[in-house]
Amino acid sequence: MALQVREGLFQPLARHAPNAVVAWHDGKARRRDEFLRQVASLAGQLPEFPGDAEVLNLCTDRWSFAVSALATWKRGYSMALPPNTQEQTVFEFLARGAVRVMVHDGEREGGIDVRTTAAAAAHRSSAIAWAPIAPDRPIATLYTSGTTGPSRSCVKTAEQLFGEADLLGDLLGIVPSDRILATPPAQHIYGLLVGILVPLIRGASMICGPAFHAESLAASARQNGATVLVTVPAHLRALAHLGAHELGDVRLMVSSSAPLEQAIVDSLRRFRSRLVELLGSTETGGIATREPPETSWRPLPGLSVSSDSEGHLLVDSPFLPSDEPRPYVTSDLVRFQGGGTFAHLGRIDGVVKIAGKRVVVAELEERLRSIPGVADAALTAVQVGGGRSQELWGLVVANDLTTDQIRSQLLAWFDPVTLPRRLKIVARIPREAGGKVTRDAMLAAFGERATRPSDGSLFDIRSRASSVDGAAPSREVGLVVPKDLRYFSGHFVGYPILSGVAILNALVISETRSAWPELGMLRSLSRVKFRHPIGPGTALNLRLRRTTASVAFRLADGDKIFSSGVLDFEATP
Amino acid sequence: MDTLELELKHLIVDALMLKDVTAGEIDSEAPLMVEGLGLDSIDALELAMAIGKRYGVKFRSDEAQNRVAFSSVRALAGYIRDQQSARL
Repeated sequence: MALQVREGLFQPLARHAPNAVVAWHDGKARRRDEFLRQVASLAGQLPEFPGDAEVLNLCTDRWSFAVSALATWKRGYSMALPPNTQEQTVFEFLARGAVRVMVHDGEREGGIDVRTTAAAAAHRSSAIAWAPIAPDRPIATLYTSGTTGPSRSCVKTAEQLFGEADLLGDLLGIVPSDRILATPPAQHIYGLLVGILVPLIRGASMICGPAFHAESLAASARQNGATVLVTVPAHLRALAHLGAHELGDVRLMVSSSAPLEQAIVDSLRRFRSRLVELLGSTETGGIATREPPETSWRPLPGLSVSSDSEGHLLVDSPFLPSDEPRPYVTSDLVRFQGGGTFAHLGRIDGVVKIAGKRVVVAELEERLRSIPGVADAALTAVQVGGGRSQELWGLVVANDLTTDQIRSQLLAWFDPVTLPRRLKIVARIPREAGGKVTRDAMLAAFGERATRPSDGSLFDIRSRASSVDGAAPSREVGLVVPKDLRYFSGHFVGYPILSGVAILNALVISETRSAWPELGMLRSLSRVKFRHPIGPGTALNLRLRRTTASVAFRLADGDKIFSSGVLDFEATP
Repeated sequence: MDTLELELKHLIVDALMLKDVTAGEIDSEAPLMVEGLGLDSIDALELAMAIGKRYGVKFRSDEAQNRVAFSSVRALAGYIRDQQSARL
């Protein structure tokens, strides 16, 4: 699939008029001239290196970040963007062969402080010669936590990043008069694309300066005349107690990194802004959008999406890394609906999202175990709702360490939000014979009981019976769907009541775990069918049949089968 | 002990669903964020919402001032008192 590249696309600031505003800071306009002077000045400071050298860009302010990015590209470098800016992570990046220079705008040792360069740029000429950037030139490497290695690199070319920014600009209707206020860090694909590249590519302006609490976000929006707010659910949730006019002229809110809960969508309505949710990943770039009350995702134009027999989302897009096989197989589980749209059912690869931040549980566990003095460690993710949505709890075997010491070790590597929220030192990890730790055993170590269908099922369970059918153990559950369906609305946000997700999560998977708690992580779903809608008050029979690590389910009322399929779990020892 | 500080400690434990610390264990002067009680940025957002709801107090448009307000239970109590008396 060829990407339609527009004239001038790879010429940065091509759509900004000579005196156009590039950014707003404390209500003051900062123009193209000043911006280019600083770019030229910083570019002059970067040493010349042949080959594929990278500049590690740690700037937190969007102006400093953008100046650094353009200086980096002007000088022929690519930009390395770390998964977080914690001390040890930065050290590890500096030790990488490709990284030659670090630029930052904070209190850091070494590297180039962009703020001092900016001060020196005042008397420079802004007339800098720009050679257009070649479409196939790598301009940024983003790093994400990987399920296998410590971090996975994702190289993006000019064509991929600028092309995607332009497409998002079209989709969001970004025009030069737009002023974009973004909260996600520019080192993250979402913050980079929508917070930095969209305004740079579309001739619009970005709003700079720190904005974190609802009040400071609102003050910045009003003072700088924001028209677009780019953020994540945790921030949108915090806007709930603002008055309807406190955001000024924001016409569009963009949310990504985690699904928005219905309650947040409802509370945002009074701002009367268009609300767009964006689904994507570092590897694939943007995949789909939805505009609540829409609940299903609509693929971005120019992408083709499908699913394999196990329900994995497959993506073919011009923004994919050129060395990946097409289509790209994601770890997202989806179900296709009418008109090419799909429902997102979750992920199946041990990646959890904490306040929208991607965390690979195995990676954090590995890091825990590598702390001197730690003999063993295990983590589990727990649903907690709120701005965080999920959190990690960890058990650690360590004789001479306190949980505070362990926490501070982890803090050198990970974003504070993603650290285990509960850590407990134990004499041994409650592992089973084969080394696995079940979720129930983890929760029990914290003195918590797993939510069991018997004491917390969303359904009205009438009977449970276990038997062995031939060689296959099976379980039959008699149940009634509760009449008060509003009960579900907070649990399966964004999906129609008693959707496939609700049936799978709240009933089938939860009953399966109750019958066979030793089963490992859910790997995939196959041959899953939802034949008829299930209404309130329906009496149903759920039959589960287990063959080693697979469980076939059938949900029926007499001969009428409502749903069936197979759940495949990780093999248990 | 200062009643407002004690109330805040209970609010912190309840609103942030802290399970391994009780209100009585929180030191009024200890840092609330990362290196002290171990709260993070999401906790700060949630706590600001809870305080807004309970005391009708808003935070500042200047993040540097907010960081000072969230530095300890004592600082938070002081901030809430200032905001409330400014309204009278």
